[in-house]
Amino acid sequence: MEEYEVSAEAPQAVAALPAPRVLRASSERFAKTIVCSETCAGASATQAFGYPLEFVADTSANQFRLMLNGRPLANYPVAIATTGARTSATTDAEGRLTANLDGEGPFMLFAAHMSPPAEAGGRFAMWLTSLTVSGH
Amino acid sequence: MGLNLRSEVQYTSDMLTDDLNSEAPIAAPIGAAGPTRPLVRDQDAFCPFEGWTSRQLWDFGAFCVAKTWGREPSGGTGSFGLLVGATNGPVHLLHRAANARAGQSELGAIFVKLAFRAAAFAGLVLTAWPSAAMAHDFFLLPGQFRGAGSFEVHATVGAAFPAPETAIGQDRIGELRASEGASIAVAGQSDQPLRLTLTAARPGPHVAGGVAFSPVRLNMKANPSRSSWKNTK
Repeated sequence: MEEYEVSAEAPQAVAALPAPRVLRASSERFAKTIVCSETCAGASATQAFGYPLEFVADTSANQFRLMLNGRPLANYPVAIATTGARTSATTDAEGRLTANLDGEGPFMLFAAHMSPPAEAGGRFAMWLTSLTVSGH
Repeated sequence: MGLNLRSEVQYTSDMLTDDLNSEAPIAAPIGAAGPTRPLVRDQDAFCPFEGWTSRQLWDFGAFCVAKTWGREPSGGTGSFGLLVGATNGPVHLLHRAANARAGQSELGAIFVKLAFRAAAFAGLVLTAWPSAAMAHDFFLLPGQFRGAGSFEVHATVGAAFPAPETAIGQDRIGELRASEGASIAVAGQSDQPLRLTLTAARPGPHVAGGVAFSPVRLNMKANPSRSSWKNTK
């Protein structure tokens, strides 16, 4: 959790675990990339795979949506990585992220989400997702 | 293209421990492929990062290896990797030595206990530092984003995107997925990334393929003396 930025609720829930604190968790990672065969024209890049946490290309250039269980994840921290640099950004109220992809790239969008268990003693669910795209 | 990997839970550094000296078996290191396998202290180290592997280093105990640059000899116990974070093995061995010598020489016991504490502190520094500095990401990286028909795509883990750092075994693949109009398959394993081939059946953009693993389940007990979580099965 130090490495990945998640919503504030998760670390608070970990801190609230009774001593001795035992973190029971299930974790999954997802990664996607977009390539263009002959042309980049078309809408198939906007298809969602239905992963619990995923980036989906929006119809506008340089825009992506972060989806949590099929719904936009609003006002959520994400990371944008390129060669030698990693910056932070936040999705808007509709889960959209506008990334500056000027440059050679490649670029990677990354997000992590950790859900506290629904009941005491349950498992935290941690999802990490990335989307790799080219620069312009 | 999608990738879903069985992975680890990152640890936090402000937790407590009550079982540093426990003899209870611990579960597989985080990130280990396949079903959870029982490990015993002095034989394996708890490695909190994806891709780190435990290596027994002669009689000194187990260490976490973050990166290897050579092949280990068949059946050997040495490691040609970068050692980071001496964990269970050395600490536990020193502690056992302290207990053993306590009945022989009080001064010797004190000396060994000091050595034990120094080793524990060293382990703390070595294992805590990378957690704040690096994130190990799973990502897919095409050889080229624009082309025609066939694309080689690397599935890898790395802390310095886009450099691949950790090889992903094919046994960790749970699912490959391609969007409509494309297909994806494993092409082979190289030293670093897992190579995939995406084949586009028609022109256009493709969000094609993915690798999926079943969720791994971990129980992590906080361990403040080494700023780590220990897998407790």
